[in-house]
Amino acid sequence: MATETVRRPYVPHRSGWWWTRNRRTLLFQFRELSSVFVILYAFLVLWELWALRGGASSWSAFLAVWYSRPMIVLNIVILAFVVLHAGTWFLLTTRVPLFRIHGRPPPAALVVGGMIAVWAVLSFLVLRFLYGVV
Amino acid sequence: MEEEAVDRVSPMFWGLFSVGGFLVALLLPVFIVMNSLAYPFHLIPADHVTFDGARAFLAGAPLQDGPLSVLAPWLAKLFLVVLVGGCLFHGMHRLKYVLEDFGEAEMKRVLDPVMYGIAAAGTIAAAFLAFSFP
Repeated sequence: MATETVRRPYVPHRSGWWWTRNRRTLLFQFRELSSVFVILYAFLVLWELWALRGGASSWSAFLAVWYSRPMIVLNIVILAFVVLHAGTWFLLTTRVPLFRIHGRPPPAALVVGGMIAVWAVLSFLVLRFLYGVV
Repeated sequence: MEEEAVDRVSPMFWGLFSVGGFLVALLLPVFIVMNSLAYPFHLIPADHVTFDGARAFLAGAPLQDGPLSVLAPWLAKLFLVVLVGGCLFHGMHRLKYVLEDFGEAEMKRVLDPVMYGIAAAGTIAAAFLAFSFP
């Protein structure tokens, strides 16, 4: 009679909370969560366009909510997460050298400085040509 | 010899993620400030946010009388569509990997079409809404 064997295959198990155990992965997930606020703002803009399309009364009802205190606080939080995204994204671009100077990747300070310069120019163009305020 | 199937779909979404990352970093901060915070912080007068003011923004009012008047009817609308699309394709891609890290990896087959489907639907909605204005 054959001996009965119990097969116990190795099943890799990963808790859904593995990222909370390490400060680096915790910060990483917080930065990734900024995507939630970016998505939220995209839907807020869709709602805004929808309200504007609805006519003058629909727009004034929208404005009452849009410029209410909780909404302003929410927008400040969204802006803070977007700035966190922008800063970390600019730092990320230093890791992907698109060109070389004398065979070496450009220094990180040059890349980040260049990104900030592009950001400033684009922001100015938006203020100048889309909003006409500068 | 059997040829290995080449995944042509994933790189496209990574590309959209990357383009969206630049759009969010470079253009979203100035847009959130102007669209949500400038008026309550008294940086722009009330006539920017009225029904007529909001429609003038979509009609490209600052460009209408200048040498760039040919851009006026579509530049602000295109800006909104590109920004909403960039936010959604960037954010949904990132959120998808957050959900996979949280232990939903086995749901990849479901997550892919749901997340990118929402991004595509939102972008199309933005295009229809924005270009429905005169």
